[in-house]
Amino acid sequence: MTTFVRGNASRQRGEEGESTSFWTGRGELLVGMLVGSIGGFLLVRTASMDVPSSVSFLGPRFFPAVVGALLVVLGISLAVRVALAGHRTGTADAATEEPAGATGSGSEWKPLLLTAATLVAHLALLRTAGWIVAGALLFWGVSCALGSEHRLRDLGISVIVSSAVQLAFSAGLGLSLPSGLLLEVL
Amino acid sequence: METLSLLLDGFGAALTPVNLLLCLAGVVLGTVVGVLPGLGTAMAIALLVPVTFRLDPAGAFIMFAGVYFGGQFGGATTAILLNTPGQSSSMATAFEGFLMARNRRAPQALATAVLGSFLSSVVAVTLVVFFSPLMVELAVGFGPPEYFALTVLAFLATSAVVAGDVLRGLSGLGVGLALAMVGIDEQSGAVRFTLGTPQLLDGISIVVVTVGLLAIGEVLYVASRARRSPATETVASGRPWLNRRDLGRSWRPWLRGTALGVPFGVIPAGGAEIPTFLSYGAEKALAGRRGDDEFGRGAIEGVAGPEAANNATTATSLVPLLGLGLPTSATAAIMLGAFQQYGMRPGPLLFTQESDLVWALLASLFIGSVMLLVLNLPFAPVWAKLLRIPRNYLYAGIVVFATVGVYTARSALFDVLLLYVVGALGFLLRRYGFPVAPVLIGVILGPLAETSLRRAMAMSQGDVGVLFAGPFAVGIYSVLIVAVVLSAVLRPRRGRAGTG
Repeated sequence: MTTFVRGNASRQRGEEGESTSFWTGRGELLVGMLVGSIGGFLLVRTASMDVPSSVSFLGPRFFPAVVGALLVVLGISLAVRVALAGHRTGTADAATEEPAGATGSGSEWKPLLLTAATLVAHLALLRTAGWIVAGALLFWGVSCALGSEHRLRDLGISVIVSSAVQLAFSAGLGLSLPSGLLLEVL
Repeated sequence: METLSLLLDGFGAALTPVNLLLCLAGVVLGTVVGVLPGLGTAMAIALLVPVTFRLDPAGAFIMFAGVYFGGQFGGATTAILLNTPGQSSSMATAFEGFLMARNRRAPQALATAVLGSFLSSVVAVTLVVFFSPLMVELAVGFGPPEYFALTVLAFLATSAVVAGDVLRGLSGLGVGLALAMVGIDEQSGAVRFTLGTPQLLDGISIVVVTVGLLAIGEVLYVASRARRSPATETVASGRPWLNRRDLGRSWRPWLRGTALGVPFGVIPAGGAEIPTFLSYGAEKALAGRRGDDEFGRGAIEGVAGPEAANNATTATSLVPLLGLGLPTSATAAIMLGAFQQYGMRPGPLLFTQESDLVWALLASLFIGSVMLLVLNLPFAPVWAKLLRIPRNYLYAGIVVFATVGVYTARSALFDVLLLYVVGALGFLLRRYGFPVAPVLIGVILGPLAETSLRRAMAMSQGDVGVLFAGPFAVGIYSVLIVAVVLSAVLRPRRGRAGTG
């Protein structure tokens, strides 16, 4: 099965002459597995759920069991379809409310990973370093990841943006943002 | 006549300075996201929900409605001037509109688009005003079986009928339903799928899911294909205007577009895309019959019809949203989620309990349409300049705004973590061509579907027949069967049209 998929996908890849990563043409398999495992998770946790004794007829387990079973079936079907069809990434008409023709060729990993790393760093810093620092990092990181040309100028813009947000939210809307350990000590 | 006096009261409430300002803010923001490709009205409203939570609900919804309408007006501007539709519902406009702009007829194209949008909005909102109460009267008799049937209709319509791919659509729906089940089950008190995490006992907030899927997911998707996009040059256009001849050619397509768009708002057919293409096709066929061969070289009818159609659909989608609590597009689903955040449930109860809000909202739609006409007719070329904002700042700003909005809603770092996880899920779905609308509908309507089903079964002591007992429920299921059969019959043709 696996060899068949690989052979089929690599042949298609050769025809298209696009990026040649391992996952080209097989990426949707990942989504199929994800969908199936969410379904499996629902089924397993539904079976071991504590149900109050007062429940009559359809209890809290019925709906999750139906959805879980549906997701398992769908996950398997998606995986089988990818395996049979080989290379067939997103068809444009599937997506609603977005311009068509945006799907297709492979992802670029560097900007994506930089953006993801920025999000993780922001999570780690939000409580400790406070919003102004973590928010500025968030803006700067995403801006750089998306191919900014003026890194230093962007750093300035980032600090202005995060300070403006702090001001608007705490002074304007009366919502609190973490000030960070440093300011709390001071 | 009662409707008229209620509407007049609504105008009284909507014409306060604060609400006028919120309406203006909404239509400006809507025009901005309409103009910018990649930003949709659904994302804009999702981002606004956490920030507007402190506002008076009527004001917040007036603003959301302004965004919803503004997006349709703004989308046409860039479609015409740059061949870059800001919204998928403006794709049909770009065909003839951009050709007109290249023939130095951009002012006429913009004028017919804006005037057509305005005309059809006013006509459709008038229909909404008079038909929503009828819808409510119909819905008063609805019990749990009917509500369950409605949710099933919404689920299958968005995931199986409209989405091009049934497997992908249903998978999205299932993921949405799964997300909605996390937390304490309201009816029995059982704890479901929290993995012992106390922060999950209240469930995953709709705000987190919608903002994560639409905003964070979109930014990750943009990052994954961040090739330098070519610099955009706006076509110089001058002030939009129509001479007598253009007006004579436009008014019939406006009316036909409106007529085509109106019914598509009421049925869950996934928004304004289909009617715009139907209208474009109809105008092209009529031009062919008249022996007019201007289509393909910039025919004004090809702009007037689709633009009227998408605004009509947008407006009439408020009828099922307000009257039944049934969202017919992703943006309407977010609005429904926003109502839930305020503890309101659209449907018959909304019209009795929140009557002031509903009528102020409906009145503000007229006011917003006038504002959009004034904002867009003289200034359309100015809006097109928005495309010069560097995209990296735009998306960085979206991430910051999404994060801060979700964090401040409950002051919980855990929500930000969830936001990013849902964003990663949104990226995967987007990357592999899974539609997002079914996920949103699943998350937002999932709880209603489950409670209605369980209440119906408890009422009937476990007899499944209760689900098909009432005439309305049977009617809804028949509509559903017809829709499924029709889409199965029509699909091969649509598929060929899509690839060709």
